[in-house]
Amino acid sequence: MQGSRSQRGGEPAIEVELSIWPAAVAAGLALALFGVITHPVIALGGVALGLVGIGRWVQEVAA
Amino acid sequence: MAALGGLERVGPVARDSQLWSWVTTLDHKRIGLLYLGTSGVFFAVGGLEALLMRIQLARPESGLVSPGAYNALFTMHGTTMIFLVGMPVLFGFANYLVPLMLGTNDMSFPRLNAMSFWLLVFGGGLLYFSFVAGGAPETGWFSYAPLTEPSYTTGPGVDYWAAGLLVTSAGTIATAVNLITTIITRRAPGLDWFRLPLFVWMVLITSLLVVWAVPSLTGAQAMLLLDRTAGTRFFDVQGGADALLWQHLFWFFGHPEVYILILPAFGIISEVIPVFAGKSLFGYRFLVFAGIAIAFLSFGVWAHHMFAAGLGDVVNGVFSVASVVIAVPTGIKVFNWLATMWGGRIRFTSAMLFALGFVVMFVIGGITGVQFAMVPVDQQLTDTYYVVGHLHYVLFGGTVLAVFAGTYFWFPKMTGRFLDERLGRYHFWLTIAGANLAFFPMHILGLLGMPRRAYTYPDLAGWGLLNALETAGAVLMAVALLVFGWNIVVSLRRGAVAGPNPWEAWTLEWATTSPPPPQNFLVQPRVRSRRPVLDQPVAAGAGAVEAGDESGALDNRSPKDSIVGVLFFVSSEVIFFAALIAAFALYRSADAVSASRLDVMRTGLFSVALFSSSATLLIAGRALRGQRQAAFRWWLAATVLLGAIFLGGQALEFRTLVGDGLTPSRNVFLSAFFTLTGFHAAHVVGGLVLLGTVGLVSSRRAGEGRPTGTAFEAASAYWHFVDVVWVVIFTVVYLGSAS
Repeated sequence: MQGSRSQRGGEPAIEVELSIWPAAVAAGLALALFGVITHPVIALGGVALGLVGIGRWVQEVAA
Repeated sequence: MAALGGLERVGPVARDSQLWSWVTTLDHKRIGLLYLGTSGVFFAVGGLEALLMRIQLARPESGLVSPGAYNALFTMHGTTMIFLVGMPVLFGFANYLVPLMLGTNDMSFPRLNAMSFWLLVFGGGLLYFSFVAGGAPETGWFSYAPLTEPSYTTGPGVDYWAAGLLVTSAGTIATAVNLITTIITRRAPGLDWFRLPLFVWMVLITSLLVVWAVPSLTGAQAMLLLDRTAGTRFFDVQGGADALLWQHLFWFFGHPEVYILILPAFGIISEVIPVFAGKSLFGYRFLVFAGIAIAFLSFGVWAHHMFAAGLGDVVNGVFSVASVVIAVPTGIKVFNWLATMWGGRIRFTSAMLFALGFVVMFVIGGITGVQFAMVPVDQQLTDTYYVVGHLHYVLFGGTVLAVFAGTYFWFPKMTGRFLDERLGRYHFWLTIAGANLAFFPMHILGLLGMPRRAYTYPDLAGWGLLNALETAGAVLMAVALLVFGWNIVVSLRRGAVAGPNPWEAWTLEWATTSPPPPQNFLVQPRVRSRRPVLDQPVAAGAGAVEAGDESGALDNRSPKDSIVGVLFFVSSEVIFFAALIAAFALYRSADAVSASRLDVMRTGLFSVALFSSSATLLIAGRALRGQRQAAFRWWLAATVLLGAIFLGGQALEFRTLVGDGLTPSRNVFLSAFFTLTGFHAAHVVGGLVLLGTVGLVSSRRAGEGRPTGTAFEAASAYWHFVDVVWVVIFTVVYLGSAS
């Protein structure tokens, strides 16, 4: 997710880049290890979240 | 004032306080503030844990806290302060300040930077989840195996400890790689190595320590987690494991960790003292080389934590000498700071008071540290309160006081407002009084023989009084922290407004507004000296860089980012694999029967496929550079296919062994074999995904006539590393054991 921000009164626009996917990848890794301790399904969920996050991350960077 | 005008106009964007914009931010300054805030929260939690321990120990034979709860408290206090406070708070300063000091607009990898921060949050969350998931770990911050083996420690506490720290460690390594790359590739024109601020130098050295020390802990924790969840037997002494393997792997990380926590503090002090002494830093190059020497030596002193483990006189002697020698460069730094102040016009601001407190407290902690380098002294005092006193003088008197100094110094830059100086002085004197009252009597108690990690103690002569004094000191420190917290809250709202350079300092962060705009600088700063603020063309009286092209943000991304980042990441992977290979080497002769079942010829043939993939990848890279898209895709596909063939061979090997009942849980040899080759296989899978993804993106870009950058070269370097590691593994495992 990229956000372009603020064009106020004809002043110079500063693009502020935002992305949720780094946080999603981190959450995926933590969830995967949480699953290792608790239940394999949770681990798989974590891996899936991490992979989705990395995929969207790459899409953003490649764009 | 054109520059300031421009910066003010974009200011509201940077100060956008919506929660979502903080969660999704990629701005190094915001991520730095998030690190600082998060470590502040964990500091409060870890402090409360310490306070509970001190209340329990305030009088002899107290039953306020149960033995198990006390064990959990000291485990979580130590783990929190080291991993969730000490490293993150210093990375917070580094994140915020390094790009500014370098005159660049951000870190080399902003997304990686954001991920690193969230790994800290989720890793810390995982660790603390243990409290509600069956009990926090009770095994100390270094969680020695075999104590942490499932046969000795039931319950999930240690699992959460290992998993939580694996997550935070991944973020720590990623941040370190990011900082190293940023410092190497993104320095402003003219900012050569010996014009770098000392803080940047110390961050660079610290980051190298992180990259080369933390993976040893990561490897050990991976083995521990596998022991506890998958039945491997790395640390199962009854099953033939080495009782000291964990200690070696842990302390190979653990002693450099001390310098990871103190070197950035040295950097902060080296920025604060010259500014408030009104003099340039004395012996700049000595300070740089002393830092490098400390880092180098720190890898050769780990066994001084094991003098009582029975390593033998020769080993103890070698590590004793190395531990004494490391005091020399540390001492050089202290003399440099003293010489900087000598003859200066000292301004006793809160920042300077904390810097002075740092020097005194750190010297006390350093001297008691040198005492522990002496084997006989160590053997008398190990596991007593003397150790607790020493480490708190170093880590609180050193690191924490430096963090306070840095906060008073850079708070105006970060927020645009000063912290209150009167409250700052209260904070300082309460802290100094509290810390010395809390930590100094620990030395006396240690000499009297009081053991550390004991939940209570008998009513022996003097013990009750000294412990009561320590508790009083801890309460004073808590009051000091409340004053500090109040100062931050009040100053954020009503603090005196700070200009761009309120302390008349010299490094580049002071050459932009307070707080800086999203892109840090409107024009590229150029550096001609070690006082780069004075090198900039300033707007009248403002101290901020003069306006240039206001239409575009400063963006000095370097094409070398990817390759430099991957090379340092690979160097950390070398240490990770070295830890696994060391464990295998230790156990390679433990099971000759299983070793004889490894199929050297078949694995050798599959290895040829893997080695060939490096050649096809080189050809693919050449095709990409030559704009031959079809050839590139064919050779890339060949590389992926060869990698997949190798993985097929590994799967076949695993299936054969497991089919014969030779599972990872059978003995230490098979545990080490499956873990080492399994992790390598996981790296091959990762490498294939990386190559495929980066290759396709590069190919598409090349097809559209856009620059492909160096991402493919970086991915290729990673793949070649995976191949080279297999050369070592094949030699050690198959040629060395199976023959």
